[in-house]
Amino acid sequence: MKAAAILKRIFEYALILFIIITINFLLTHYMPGDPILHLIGEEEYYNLMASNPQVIEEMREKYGLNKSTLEQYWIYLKTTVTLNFGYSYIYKQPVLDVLLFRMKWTLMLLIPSVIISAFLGAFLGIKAGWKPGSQFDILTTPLMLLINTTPTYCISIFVLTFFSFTMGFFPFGGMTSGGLSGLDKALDIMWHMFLPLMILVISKTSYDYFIMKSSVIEISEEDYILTAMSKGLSDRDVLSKHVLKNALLPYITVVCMQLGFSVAGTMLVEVVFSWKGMGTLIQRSVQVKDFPMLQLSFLFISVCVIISNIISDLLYIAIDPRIKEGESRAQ
Amino acid sequence: MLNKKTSLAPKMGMLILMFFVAVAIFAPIISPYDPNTITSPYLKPSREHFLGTNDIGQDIFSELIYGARLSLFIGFFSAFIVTLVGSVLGIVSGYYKGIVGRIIMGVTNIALVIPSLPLTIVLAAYMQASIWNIIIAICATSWAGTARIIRSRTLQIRELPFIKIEHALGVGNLQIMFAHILPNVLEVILIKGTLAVSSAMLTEAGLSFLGLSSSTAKSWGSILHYAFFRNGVLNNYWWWYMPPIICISLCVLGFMLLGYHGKGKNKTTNKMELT
Repeated sequence: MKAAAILKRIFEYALILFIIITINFLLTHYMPGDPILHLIGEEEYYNLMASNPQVIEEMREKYGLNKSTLEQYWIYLKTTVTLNFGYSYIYKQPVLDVLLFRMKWTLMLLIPSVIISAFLGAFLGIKAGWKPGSQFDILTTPLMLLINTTPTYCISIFVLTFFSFTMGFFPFGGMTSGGLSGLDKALDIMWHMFLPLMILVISKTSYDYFIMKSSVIEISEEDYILTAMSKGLSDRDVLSKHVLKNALLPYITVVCMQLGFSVAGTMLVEVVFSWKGMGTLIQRSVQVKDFPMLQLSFLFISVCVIISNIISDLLYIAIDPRIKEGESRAQ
Repeated sequence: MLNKKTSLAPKMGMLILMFFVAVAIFAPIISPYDPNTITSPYLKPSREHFLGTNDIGQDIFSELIYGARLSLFIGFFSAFIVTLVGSVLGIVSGYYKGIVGRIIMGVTNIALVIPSLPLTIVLAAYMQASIWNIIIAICATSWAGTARIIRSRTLQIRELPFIKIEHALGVGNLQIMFAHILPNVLEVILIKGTLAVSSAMLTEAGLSFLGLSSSTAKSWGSILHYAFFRNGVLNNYWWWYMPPIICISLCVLGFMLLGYHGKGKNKTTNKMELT
């Protein structure tokens, strides 16, 4: 039964991936403008248009743009499956190489921030949810709400001006000061990543906090908690043995799923701190209209989301004994 | 304590929003200058220019007031479309459990997995920079959440006795869906709609901050874009970058507080909202 559920899920994700690739195809071919322009870039396109237009026609031939839509689609699928995503006319490199290099830097921010905030959010959420209306809750909840409603790049700008400009504690952005090696370099990178990491931790914590809090409140109202209380168990025992056990399962899956969606979330923070990860890559690609790069980034982020969904599904199946076949939980 | 809180929060939210809506409506009366008039650039706050001027010499205070118009318009308009589409699809797919419902649900589940911010950015990058294209990009990517919640509500309601009786009496499907199920899911629709406005405003601000909006459109996000990318932050011109940040955050907070009203009152909604 479990195997069937897993297989069904895998099929669903494969379908989603296929649809995303199709969206990418439709974008290049049906968005306003010549597809060639999307492939080689505006500057090159207009240069060629003026100097020798027949090169453009040759390219049209080469990319198969004269063929029928179906044939083009088939070609597109083939090149995608062979991981041939094209060439970035800005970086003069295959887009995949650029992306993988940038991804490393994004993960350096992303993974620690998700882990730290998962613990922090859980801890604070449990504390507030277990005694709603307590002094702790009254102080923490509005603060978390405020953090939650302020866009991360706004917090970033504020923090950047305060800590880097006014106080001079941290650099203005970027990733290293350059010219260092070994331990010095590592420390230097950590110094540069401190502020962006902090902001990601804070904003994700506020998100995790509300999930944990509401789930703890909900569980506290269940009958079995009342039973446990009336058996004379201490608060601590009820919390750790009954409440936590039930609250952690949905929490872990939400945090896992967050991993994928956060790739997009870190984007704006990266832009503010000029951290050379995926975010700044996408922002720059948008500015210079580097479409192959944009398409791959979109595909790549989608794959991240799908992978984190799969991880969270597997965890759910592994942890929860009650999982039913075919129960739809896709987020 | 809890009761007091639930009644206070939406009132505060309402107050904040009424303020911004009033500012947006009376923008031409309140703003001291036309935000497009050009005077000397980079002026510090003074009696003439309450919040100084920007890089090309436009009055920031007036920009901000007109910004309320555009930001709220994009927020409300996108949220209206998103909620309308999401609600209709949700009710229809919940009511027709057969093949129609399954297809709509399948599409919804897929749309929920596709990361919306990157897709919005890609869409906005392909289209010419304009307000309408930003609205299209927002709408195309954010209807699925509403559809899912409305569907699960409809599934519960369609099993209630009064719907079954109507079936037996031969009341038409359309009438059941939109005259009898709709009023029962209206509360959820309104909550989702309120939150949709704030998320649309956030997306718009994010896109404009990245510079994807048209250069003549003055929303809070694009004011922040110029403040950041034209060195307003590096030079610490707080009167340039702080006001749009405060406006965006305060407005989103307003919608969240208003949305909380229903969330506090209804336990099932609360549960669904967070999943």
